[in-house]
Amino acid sequence: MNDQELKSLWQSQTLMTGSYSLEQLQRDAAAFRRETVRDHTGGMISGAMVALIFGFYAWVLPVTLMRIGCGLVVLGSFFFMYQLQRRGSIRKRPPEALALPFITYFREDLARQRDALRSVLWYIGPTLLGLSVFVWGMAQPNPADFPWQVTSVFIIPVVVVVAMHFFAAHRLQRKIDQLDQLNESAEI
Amino acid sequence: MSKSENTTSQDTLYQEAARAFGSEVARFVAGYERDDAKRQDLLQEVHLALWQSLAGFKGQCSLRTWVYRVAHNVGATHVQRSMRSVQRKSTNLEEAELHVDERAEIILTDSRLDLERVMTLIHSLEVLDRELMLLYLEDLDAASISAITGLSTRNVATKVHRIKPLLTSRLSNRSKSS
Repeated sequence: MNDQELKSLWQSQTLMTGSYSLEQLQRDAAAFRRETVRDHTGGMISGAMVALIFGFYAWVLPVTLMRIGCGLVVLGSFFFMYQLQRRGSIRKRPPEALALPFITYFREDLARQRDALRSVLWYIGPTLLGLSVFVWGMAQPNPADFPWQVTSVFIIPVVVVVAMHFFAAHRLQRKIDQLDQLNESAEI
Repeated sequence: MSKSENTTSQDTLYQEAARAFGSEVARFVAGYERDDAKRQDLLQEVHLALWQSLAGFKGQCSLRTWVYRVAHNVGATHVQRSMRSVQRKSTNLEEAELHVDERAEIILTDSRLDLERVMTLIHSLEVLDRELMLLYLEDLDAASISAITGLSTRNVATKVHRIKPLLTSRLSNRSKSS
């Protein structure tokens, strides 16, 4: 079989082309929007729950440092919700972006994923600061009683998660560099 | 242009695109997903993306180029997503050249077997090489492939030059074995 015969064979395949009415597409688009809103709302509810719980602690706890820590966690949660709102809307791409040439589309997509991974510190950093003050407050009045075991339960998973995010971002950057090299070599 | 006029134009463009390029889109989708049920979902996803994207179509390129880009971009995103969930490994053209005939053969009619073998090769490739091969099989010239992929025509020509013997060796191996 030669090239042309293979192409003819490929093009003669009988596949279901699918028939989608405009009403169905509108319904699908609405369902997709609802799903996105649901995901977003989930993040907002989590942030609000943390703010409520630590707000309550800030109200009832006796140690000033712990109360300051709780207040910082509340502020951190609000900051998290603000970041979620801001970055979420930045990440939204217009539908026509799907019609970009593949290399451009793919590169932008990888860069968006990389930036989202790198922004993890912006999401959890302020909350983490509040937690640190809170835990420091637990060690008062005698700093020798600092609860290292409790702290490690917070700190180790956070360090692992942040490291994993940065490692994944680094891998995406390598892919982006490969795409750039592909284009540069084509231009030589 | 008012919103309703824009929507009408979007709907009309979509219907025109689906009528003119529906078969090609279905073949591209088959190149990105082998499982029947998942393929139907992906096809629906492509049609939805196409309809949505056409709201921004202002003749920046031909309708065909637009449709093909959307189909491949959605297909490639689907592949990336599936690879993340099952850690499937794609090969590039160089590796595919080394593993031309490693897969088990199924006895089917001649042409179906040829298609199966080509499909197996396509599904083993990385997304960019896969897109190139699918466009090559649709008999597009280097300039059209370049407009869809964003690669330079020279780069496209080089890659297509490597695709040809790869396909030939796939099919000649079958001829020898039959």
